[in-house]
Amino acid sequence: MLKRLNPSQWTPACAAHLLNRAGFGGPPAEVQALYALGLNRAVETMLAGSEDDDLFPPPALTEPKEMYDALRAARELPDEAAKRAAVQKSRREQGDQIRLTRVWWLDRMRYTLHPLREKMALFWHGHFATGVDKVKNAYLMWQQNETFRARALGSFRYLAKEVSRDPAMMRYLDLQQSNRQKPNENFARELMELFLLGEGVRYSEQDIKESARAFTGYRIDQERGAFVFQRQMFDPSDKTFMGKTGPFDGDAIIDIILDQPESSAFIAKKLWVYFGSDDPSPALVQSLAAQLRGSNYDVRTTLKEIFLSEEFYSPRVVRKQIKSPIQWIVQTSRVLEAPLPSQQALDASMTQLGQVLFAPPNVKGWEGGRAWISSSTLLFRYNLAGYIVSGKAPALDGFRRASGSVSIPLEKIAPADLRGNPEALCDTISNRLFNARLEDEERTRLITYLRERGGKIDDPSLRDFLYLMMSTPDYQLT
Amino acid sequence: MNEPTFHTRRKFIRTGVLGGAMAWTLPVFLEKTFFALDAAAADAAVQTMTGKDSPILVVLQLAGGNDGLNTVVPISDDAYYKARPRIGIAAGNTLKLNDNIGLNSRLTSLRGLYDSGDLALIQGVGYPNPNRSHFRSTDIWQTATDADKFDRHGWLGRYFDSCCEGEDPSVGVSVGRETPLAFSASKPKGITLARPEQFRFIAESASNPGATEDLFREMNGMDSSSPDENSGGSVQSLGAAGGMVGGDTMDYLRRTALDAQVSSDKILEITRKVRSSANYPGSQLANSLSLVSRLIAGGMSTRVYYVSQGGYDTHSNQSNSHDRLMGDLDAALGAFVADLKAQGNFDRVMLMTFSEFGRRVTENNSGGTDHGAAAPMFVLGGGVKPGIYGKQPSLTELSGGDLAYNVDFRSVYATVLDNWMKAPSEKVLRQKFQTMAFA
Repeated sequence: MLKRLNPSQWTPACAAHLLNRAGFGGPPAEVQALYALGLNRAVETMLAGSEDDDLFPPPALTEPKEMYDALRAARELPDEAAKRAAVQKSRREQGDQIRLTRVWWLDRMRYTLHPLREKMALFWHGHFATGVDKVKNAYLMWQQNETFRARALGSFRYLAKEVSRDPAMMRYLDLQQSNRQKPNENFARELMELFLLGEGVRYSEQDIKESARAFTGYRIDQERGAFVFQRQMFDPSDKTFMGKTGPFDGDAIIDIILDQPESSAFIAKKLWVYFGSDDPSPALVQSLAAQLRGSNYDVRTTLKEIFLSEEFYSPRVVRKQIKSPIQWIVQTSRVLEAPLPSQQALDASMTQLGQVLFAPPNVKGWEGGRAWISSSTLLFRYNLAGYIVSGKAPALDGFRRASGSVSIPLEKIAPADLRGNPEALCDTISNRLFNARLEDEERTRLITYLRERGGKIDDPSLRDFLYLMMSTPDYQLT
Repeated sequence: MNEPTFHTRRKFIRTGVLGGAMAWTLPVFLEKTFFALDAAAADAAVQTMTGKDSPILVVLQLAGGNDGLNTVVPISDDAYYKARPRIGIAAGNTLKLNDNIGLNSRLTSLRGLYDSGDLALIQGVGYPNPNRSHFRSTDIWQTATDADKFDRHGWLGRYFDSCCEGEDPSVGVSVGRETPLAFSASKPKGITLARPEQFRFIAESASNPGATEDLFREMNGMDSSSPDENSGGSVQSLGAAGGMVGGDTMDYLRRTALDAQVSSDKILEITRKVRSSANYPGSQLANSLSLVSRLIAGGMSTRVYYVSQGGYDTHSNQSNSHDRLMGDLDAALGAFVADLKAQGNFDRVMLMTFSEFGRRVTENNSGGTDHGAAAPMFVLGGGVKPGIYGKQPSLTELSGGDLAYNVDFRSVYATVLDNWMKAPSEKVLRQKFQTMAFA
């Protein structure tokens, strides 16, 4: 067990931190409401969330059956050119549909009543990384996303098995092409290296070859977009895997791997890095790992342990994490109480910032941490902040006048009675953006800047002020 | 060819695109650079100013594990055709280099460079105890460590650390959005950009552009209280109260912000003036190489450029996809070489390809290949000593089921460092590796 935070140490800053990390942040009123619950109830509230499925009807996507029929019809077209045109049309539609699904998910993150569930769905998407570039099917990507959502805080053991039967993943790692004659090693390798154990831990090249034979017979029913097991493709003979011998199937392999203590440590550490900080101590990881094993890989139990711990609220953790691009986008929208930018602007931003949903760079997912920040992406973050608060389309890729502008409730962010008081205005806004008071030197600079605007701060000056505060290294942290 | 018209970089930066007189004070390390440059300028006026004197290295990563055997095909080896009944390339469909090997038929430009004496092919490159994980093996190539050792710094980063003291951040330029591990250094250098026209802060001020711009620069470390690079980077002035205390991550952000500011003015200026003098195809790699060539033409003092081409993880149905990758690679390189020749810069540029591993000898049931080990590398440029180096690994005497290496990739790095970059390879690689004769 990790040392718990004493409930008397619970402050509004702690509540803001919990909301930022277990969710995507929120405006001052939301922070205040969470703070008022006290530590234990605040954590319970984040873990429980509310059902909000009815708020987010599924995106309009071509269902597998329809797509299957369309492609079959296309194949039977007499004329090559017509055939090509039909295939291209389907490809274009798929492109449109995955863009739609991205915005659907971002919108859900922005307005959900259960932010931790979306945050975990994003974690699993990065962990069991699957890319539409190879899957080439928006429905299958969305279906996987729904699995991550439904199992977000449940059993990791169960989720791992479910992912091995997930059609998008099967396509992504060629599992549906693997058979007893020539097993494809792609999935087996990544299962151990990236999903369950970590690179080179406890397994050998021979273990990869043996376990690849266990994951044979996995097929996709294209008409239903669902997993089917084809026994005649499965290799039922004995496999010797991690020192055990038997006629293992895929699930048995996953169970053997999860029995390794390294496996629980691997997942525990990754959860801490995602929610807490980059370099957890080995003792902390071991403690979380024991929790995970003891609960038979129940994720909710481990998250509760993290969010109640003293370490989670320590200066080593608070405001030390670089926002992921998705976090930056959603959190910005939430703290400014503004709608998300238009689909066009979101598309361009995800690309330029290096995190396109449903298109991780590879099966390892996003590297995260400092890798989010290069000179190029940092400048883009600044320019995106400018776009959002100024309402003007910048001369950036994918941004045109048609991108529209984001409407910011300036009266709410800076009520009239603060407009003539630079100190109070500066503190109010920095509390909203950073959940902290600025360091003195910067605060003085910003107040001087406001003073020089003269008497009452008007809207254009206020927009500039927000822009400046968001175009800083500080704003990249949460 | 377009020459930038500035005289010194001090003037150049001070009159950047962000408008007339810049009111901010230069960080100390930049001042030092300019003084050093001014001194050097007395000797070799234009040369130093335009960066026209030093050799340039371009590193091209083929990400995903390039299938070496279908890149340089062992056409006289029956074992190759036996192992690859579906995806093997017939001898007649290759560009024969000799009786034993032929290049993939899409590599026509490389074939031309081989004929003109500008290409070195290094066969059988790898390292002991090869790792078949994309990520780990890429890290090994990028850090140049032994397979069982881990390092936070990259081989190019260690080169920046030991040989580029006092240079400005753009001594290394990576084209893309992520900074490669190879650039990681104890005193970070190197900038990363995807598109030059977006590589700037857009001051869309609604009220007072000048004041907003000034404050922006102050808030991003472009003033006298900014970190002095030679102090090792701790930001003393920020350790105040209020929960905003930085630490390493904050240092990193501030430094990146500063590097971006300094470099963006310069890069934008160059890319506005310099146009490509060759027709590049539309691929992403071609765009990257076109940008590199413009930056070279514009006189950037960059020593190392880093570009990459992805898609090489060909586990299934690889025949078409691998050929297409080869075609994209070759077309981009062909245009790049033509461009450099037109600029008169071909002799001072060396380009080196690498991939984290080759692929398995035997094709899999999906018409693809799984992760393997040793593979060939290409090195090209006007200064290359042409030819075929290393040996084609045996397809029957395998090591751990895969091709055995006979050239350690760090020997290739050592050759590039010692003979081309004039940098002490032993210091950078922290081991002595045998150099080769291609440079």
